[in-house]
Amino acid sequence: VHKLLERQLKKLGLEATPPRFDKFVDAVDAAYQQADRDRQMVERSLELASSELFERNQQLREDIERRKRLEIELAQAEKLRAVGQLASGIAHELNTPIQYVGDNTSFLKHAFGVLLPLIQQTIAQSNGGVPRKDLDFLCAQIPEAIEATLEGCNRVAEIVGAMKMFAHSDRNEHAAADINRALTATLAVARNHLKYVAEVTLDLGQLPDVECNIGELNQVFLNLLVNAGDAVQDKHQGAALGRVCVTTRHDGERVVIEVSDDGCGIPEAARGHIFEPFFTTKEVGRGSGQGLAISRSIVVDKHGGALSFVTTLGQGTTFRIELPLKRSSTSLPVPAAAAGPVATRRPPERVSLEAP
Amino acid sequence: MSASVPRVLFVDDEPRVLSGLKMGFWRFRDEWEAEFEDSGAKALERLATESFDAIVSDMRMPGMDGEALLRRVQKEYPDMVRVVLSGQTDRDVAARMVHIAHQFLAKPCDVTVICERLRQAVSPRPEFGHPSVRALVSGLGQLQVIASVKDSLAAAFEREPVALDPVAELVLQDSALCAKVLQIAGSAFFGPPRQLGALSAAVRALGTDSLRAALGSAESLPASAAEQLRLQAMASAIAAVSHCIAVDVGVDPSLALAAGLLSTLGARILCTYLGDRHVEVRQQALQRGASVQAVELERFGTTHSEVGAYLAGLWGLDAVLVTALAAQSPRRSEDLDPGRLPGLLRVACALVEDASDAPLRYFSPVDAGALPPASQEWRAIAESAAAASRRDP
Repeated sequence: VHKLLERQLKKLGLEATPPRFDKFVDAVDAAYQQADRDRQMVERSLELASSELFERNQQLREDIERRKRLEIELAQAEKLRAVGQLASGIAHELNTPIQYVGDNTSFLKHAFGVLLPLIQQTIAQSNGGVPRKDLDFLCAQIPEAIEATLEGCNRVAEIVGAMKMFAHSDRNEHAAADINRALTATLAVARNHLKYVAEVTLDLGQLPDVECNIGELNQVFLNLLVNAGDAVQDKHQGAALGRVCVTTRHDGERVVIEVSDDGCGIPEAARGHIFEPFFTTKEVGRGSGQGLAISRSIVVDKHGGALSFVTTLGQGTTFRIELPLKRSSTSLPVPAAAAGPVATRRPPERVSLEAP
Repeated sequence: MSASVPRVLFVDDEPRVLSGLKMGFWRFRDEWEAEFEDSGAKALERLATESFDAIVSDMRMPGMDGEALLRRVQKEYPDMVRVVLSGQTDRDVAARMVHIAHQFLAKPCDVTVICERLRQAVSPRPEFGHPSVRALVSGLGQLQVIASVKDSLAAAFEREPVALDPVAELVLQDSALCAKVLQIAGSAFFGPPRQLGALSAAVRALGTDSLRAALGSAESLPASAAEQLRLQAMASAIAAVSHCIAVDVGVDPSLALAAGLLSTLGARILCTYLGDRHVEVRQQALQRGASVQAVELERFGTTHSEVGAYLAGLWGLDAVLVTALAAQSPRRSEDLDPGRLPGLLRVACALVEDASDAPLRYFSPVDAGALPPASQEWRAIAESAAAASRRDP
């Protein structure tokens, strides 16, 4: 007998119902049981509907998140492209004067080489006018001044070249690139940011060329170098120069790039979040909180590589980038939700190939 | 062109650049006669009355820019060596310049480098044969590409993302593409130049966008070009044999491969652009049992090997390749030492032609007695390469 019916019968003092009521009681009992089952079913379907709603909600939230992240990356890429265009425009403007300063100085060097014996001869023959020691000084110093000018000119040319190489960014460009050369160029660009806070050492191993978008990777290298600079500055507060070390090595089908610093380290609470967009521990205005999120997206999603870190509070951090030598079809950025709205721009190849 | 030293005309709208170059070239005054103009229009006026061997022009200039100037020079004075000296690297412009200028130097560029590049391009000129053939070669912008390779290339570029390995494989199937890729990679059309003999490395270094921009617009060989297709099959066989010999004797195999692939490029150019005149040459060679080169030398004062070498020099390819190509000409001394690239290529060409069943010979045969014992093995490779090309023409 259904519990509710039992209770009601008890209330009415009908512990033992007369036999002729049996049929009626059975019918009421059946009705109670049925009502219970119905309620359970309604509850279950409600539960199902709500969990489905919850899932949909979650999905939408993730989609929005992904879209937001893409928008940020796009905006950042646009900004970088504008800066890149500006930089290569400046480089172009600088290349012309570098050309003629260099040409003129080499000319002076050779011309002076031709004139020097004549001047020395003249000095030996006549000692009128300019004192002897002044002439000796000129003969020794003019070539040195020319040499220093040539050296400076080469240095400017190198910096402009590095700037041009750094600014080089094309949306989909993929080419074999010398990672060591790119790191050296990026370091030249970041030099001003680092030179008062850290001593930078390079330990570059023999690397094969890597098929990549070097413009994007330069951005990652710059992010890591700037972060390293900030970390050592936070620790040493300008009292002493920190250390930043960049190493590269070849490891089978990958190259490994490490940027280490002896700075403040990453607090434990922050470690799980540093690759999330907008996450920053820096004060307002110093960091946008996008650097590592974008770096992760470039290394992992676009190059099929890995970005990881090891950190000890108060002792320093090492970021490690691992890049495959070649872009293989399996390491393509196949979006997790291929059917999602953000993924429709580039349908994953694998899927379309398997289609009947 | 009776002047004792070659003449080069520099064009730049910045007078200080011109005066800098003038001073820079002072050191080389015994080797070059350098002249200077500060606009495209003045340069053209000068060219109308004086003859020059080479022109070096800036790109961005008010009025007539470098592209317009060099295009006119290519059309009206095809015989001149055309070089760009510019601080600009606009991809679209560079992609067009690939077919207009022979070489592209990026500012700042040391005068010794300019001089070296010009020397390689200009030095074969005095002894090169018929002026019309020379003008034909230096006037060439792009070379026609085998239609099927061109289609596959277009398909490879359409895939997103573009993968470099399939593109490199396609480039290896057509000597014209090989030459173009080496030209672009060795010059500063797109970014800093890298002198690479290895073709696949050059393809990889150039990258997807530059390759698409430079090769995407290639013209295809007409369907009637059967002889050109045969020459391509020969080049592939020669490349395969060269590569094997190089591995055996310790020469850089990637350079040997490139040399092999370029070995019949000159013949292909003459076939395409001399038309009936070259058909006659081939007929005569068959009738007399002489090599095509021997008849070419009589008719044009030059040979297809020299044409290939001249083009390679104009386009700034690795000097080792240029020397090896030029050494195949019967005018040069017979170097059969497979330990060096010229001799190695000579042996490979001869073995491949020996293995071929076609009666026409492009290269003169090599006396079998003059070859090292190891050549028996190489001959077998040449025979299997020839058999493969018969199966899959």
